[in-house]
Amino acid sequence: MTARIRLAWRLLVGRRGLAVLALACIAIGVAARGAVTGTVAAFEAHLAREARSLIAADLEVSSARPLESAVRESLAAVLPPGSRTAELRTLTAMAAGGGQAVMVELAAIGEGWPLVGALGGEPVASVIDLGRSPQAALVDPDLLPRLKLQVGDELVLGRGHFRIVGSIVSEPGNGGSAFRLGPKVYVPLAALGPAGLGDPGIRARFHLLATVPDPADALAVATALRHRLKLSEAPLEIMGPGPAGDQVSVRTAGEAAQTAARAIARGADFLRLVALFALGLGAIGVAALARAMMLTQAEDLAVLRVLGADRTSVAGVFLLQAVGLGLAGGLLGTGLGAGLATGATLAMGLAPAWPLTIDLALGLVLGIAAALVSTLVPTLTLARMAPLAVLRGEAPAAIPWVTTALILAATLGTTLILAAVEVRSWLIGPSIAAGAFILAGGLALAGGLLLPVIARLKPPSFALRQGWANLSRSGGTLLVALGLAAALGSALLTLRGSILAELAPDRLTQLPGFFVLDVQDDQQAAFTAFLGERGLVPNLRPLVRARLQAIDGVETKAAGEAVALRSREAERRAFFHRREQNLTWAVAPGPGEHLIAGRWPQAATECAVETRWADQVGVRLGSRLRFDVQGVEIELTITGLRRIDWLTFQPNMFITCAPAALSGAPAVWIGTIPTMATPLRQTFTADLARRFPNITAIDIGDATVKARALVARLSAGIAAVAVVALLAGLAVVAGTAAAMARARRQESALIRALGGTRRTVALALAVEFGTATIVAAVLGSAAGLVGGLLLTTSQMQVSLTIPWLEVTALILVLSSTATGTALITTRSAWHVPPLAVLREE
Amino acid sequence: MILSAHHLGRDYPTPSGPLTVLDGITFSLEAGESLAVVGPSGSGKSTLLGLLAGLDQPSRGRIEIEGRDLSAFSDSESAAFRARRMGFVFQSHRLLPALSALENVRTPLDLAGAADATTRAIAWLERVGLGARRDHQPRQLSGGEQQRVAVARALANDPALIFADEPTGSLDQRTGADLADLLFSLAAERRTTLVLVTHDERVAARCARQLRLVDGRVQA
Ligand SMILES: Nc1ncnc2c1ncn2[C@@H]1O[C@H](COP(=O)(O)OP(=O)(O)O)[C@@H](O)[C@H]1O
Ligand SMILES: [Mg+2]
Repeated sequence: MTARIRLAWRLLVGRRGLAVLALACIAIGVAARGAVTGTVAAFEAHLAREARSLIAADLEVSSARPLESAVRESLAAVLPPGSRTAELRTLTAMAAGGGQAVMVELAAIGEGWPLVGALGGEPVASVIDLGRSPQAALVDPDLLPRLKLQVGDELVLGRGHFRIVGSIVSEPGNGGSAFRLGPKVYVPLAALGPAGLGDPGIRARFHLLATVPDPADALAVATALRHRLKLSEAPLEIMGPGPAGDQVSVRTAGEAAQTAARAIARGADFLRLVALFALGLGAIGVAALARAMMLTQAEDLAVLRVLGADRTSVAGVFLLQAVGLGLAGGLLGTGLGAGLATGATLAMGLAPAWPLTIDLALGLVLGIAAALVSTLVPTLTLARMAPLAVLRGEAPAAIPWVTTALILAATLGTTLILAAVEVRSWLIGPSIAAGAFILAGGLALAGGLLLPVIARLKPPSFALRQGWANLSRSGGTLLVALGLAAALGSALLTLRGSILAELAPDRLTQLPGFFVLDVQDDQQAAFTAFLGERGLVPNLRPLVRARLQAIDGVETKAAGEAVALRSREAERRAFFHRREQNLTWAVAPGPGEHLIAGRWPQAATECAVETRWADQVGVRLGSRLRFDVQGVEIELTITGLRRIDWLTFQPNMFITCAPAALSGAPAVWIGTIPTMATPLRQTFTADLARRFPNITAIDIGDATVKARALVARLSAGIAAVAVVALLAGLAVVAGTAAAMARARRQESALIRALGGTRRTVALALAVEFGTATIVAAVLGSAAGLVGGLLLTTSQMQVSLTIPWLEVTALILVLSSTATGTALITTRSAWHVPPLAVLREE
Repeated sequence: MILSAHHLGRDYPTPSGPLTVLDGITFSLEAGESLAVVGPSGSGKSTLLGLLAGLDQPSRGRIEIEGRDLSAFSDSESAAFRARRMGFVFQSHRLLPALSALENVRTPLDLAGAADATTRAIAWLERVGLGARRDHQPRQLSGGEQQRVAVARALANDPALIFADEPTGSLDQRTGADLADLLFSLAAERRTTLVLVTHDERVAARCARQLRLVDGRVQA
């Protein structure tokens, strides 16, 4: 056995060039995966470490309604002696000052908050002032310039006048949320009432926080409390950092950290899919290299057969080389990935963490598997070869196509399963992987049809003629590998371009100016009149909270009951099935709303639902939905399906009924206000905040700017991984070119012996690779645009905007770097003196 | 009797029907005998050698080696037999280019699982006069030296039989004669049976017996 390993090693070292390229092909994909995994592990470790400061306590009880004394007593009963508690209320409010107003996220903190971690202010003493003075406010440093205020100035929140004692430097758990609707402001809890921000009409979230002497007891305490309150298990949080709904929710710091970790993991799934894509590209490269190695080693291995090696050990030597390459590539990739992850985590200010050993092992296994799968066909070819025929100079006979087809099918199956595991979805991962396979097949087919046609063109220039004639020899693999890389690149560019275009500043003119929340039933008339005085007509819509209890008579599962969510689909279903639903009523479709099936609800027992919601929940026209509308049960039959253009920012709900269905139900109103001229706008928010302190107005222009920044940041992350896919594509090009360099050496030497110059030879190669790579980049980008179209229109409901400039740049960069790579790799074919080559054989 | 062939024939399928390359070959060899296979190019000499070594299956007839029917061997049995009992010398040296001279000589010993592979390989390299060149790669050796390494490799595991297919064919006359001397003296010394394909009448004349092939048949 050791003799065989040594032999495999020596043969491999003899073909160093090919081996190094194969190593790179494997390492890139594994490294990308390792980088993603390592970064996520660092995040998770950070969250686990900082779990307590994430909610600034060990345990949190919260609700959208004031916490009843029964809840407080239950908490007091389950807390062990030595525990501490504190209160917190969070809400959005309008902050006015300097003649302007902006929406802020208000945290009203009770005595003792934060129980864990610290709130830091500038000046340092400001935090103490916040505890001492009932009128103090500690504000986000961003808020001050926006309101043209300074520390010490007055800030109006609701009807209350506060003094800005300082600006926020640090918050426990980094404030918890990455995306905020507005700047953060801390005030003492006692100040809310006098400011009119404690009124029942003001939407807020009420938190009761506790620490226990031993944080390890937190879960047991939470479980006991849930039991007392007759709550099901931990709350399910799909969107956003905090629990939704007016149900009382109990969560521990650990559970909050898990929720946050889950959100990060969801994003990482897709990055891992891109890494898998890069590994797939790498496997194509290894397949090309393995074929070349097989051809160059066939004679050596035939000699071994003559010397007394049997079929299995000859194939074994080759297979051992593949395993060795996979192992080395996997190790190199894992090391590289860990390095990248460490760099990324340090850059984000987190402590680097080593991903779980099982994850590292998986990267290695993936590398070895990719190397093995892509060398299976050459290995079998070698096992079946007739040594005498090979020694006579014949190429080993091809293996039966059935075997090849079986290997391909097995590869496809394994990849689909891997994709499902990486994205944790039996639908999304495999369908993207299957799409990539179909694309690869399409590219191979297109290449098979197109390249011979080009090859048949007989231009007068020798270089063109020679380059094109060789196309069908080299083009196939290049076309598939580069085409896939180009497709990924252009799909991502299209997606990003379309989303950014949707959020573009010039689209704002078509959008409303403000989004308003929390207009109470009894404020609606006064609010409309207030706007009327300023020549503005709002589009308001009632919102009635309800709980979905049954579909077609079958009870729905409470959202909180499914905690162990293994797949993305399960999460989605649970989200759409969650009981809390918002209903609205209208006599006809509003702006940006279209009835696409059935008819508009007219009777009190009818409703129309949004079509995608219907798909997710699994209801159709005629389905019956039973709701509990704040104590009153109603059953509604779906008579219509609606499509809603959410990006018009017009208010709407998944479920709409006839006005009669909800008459008498308590509603709040949400809506939009048209854009207004700048002078009016400057005083508008301040006037609004003074007149209706509870109404929140979100500046849509502001929000889109923030959303654009968020998209830009997200796309930077995706682009980084996409670059990896492009690198893998280039490695494949280098591999394919190196694979045929030996054959080309002979040919080029011959051309030069016949009177061709070095330039002619290089030119012919450049024509060959240039044409193949441009065809690949164009075909791949076209396919990517189609993919982008599908994603934008069906998944994101964004209209397609093709970033022509960027896609053209992608094609140019990809084809020129690929051609350059190929020319460098085949340098020996056009650079070496021809006599040296001809003497070699 | 170490090797015998009975009515041996080999056909190759071609687009225009089967092509008979060898037919009706019958002969036998005693241990220590040497046989020269001669004949014009394309007469089937290499094909015959391949059949005798179990690298190819005959279409007709039977081969017995040391009293055993070769067709009854499985792939791994005939491979193991080659590794232990046979040696090969080709026209062009066919050394493994990635391996050193010593490693090339060791290869059949490794494949046969021999214990003292390195010592034996070094001894053989010294026997062929290349002890000082053991760490050189094949491309660092001259044609004659390469072929001497090949002879050392063929003899490394003390085979009962050596097959040599035009071993002097790509060497100049002087070097070729030296190599033939080496091969014959080593074979005689160890009583190794030698089957040798050659175009060189002087080399053929040094063999105890001759087999002349024309168009795949033995010419008396
Ligand atoms: N695999 C094969 N298919 C068809 N014909 C073959 C094959 N191998 C050898 N031949 C033919 O068999 C004949 C004998 O070949 P060979 O044994 O190599 O001759 P020699 O070694 O005497 O020059 C030649 O005509 C050759 O073309
Ligand atoms: Mg021959």
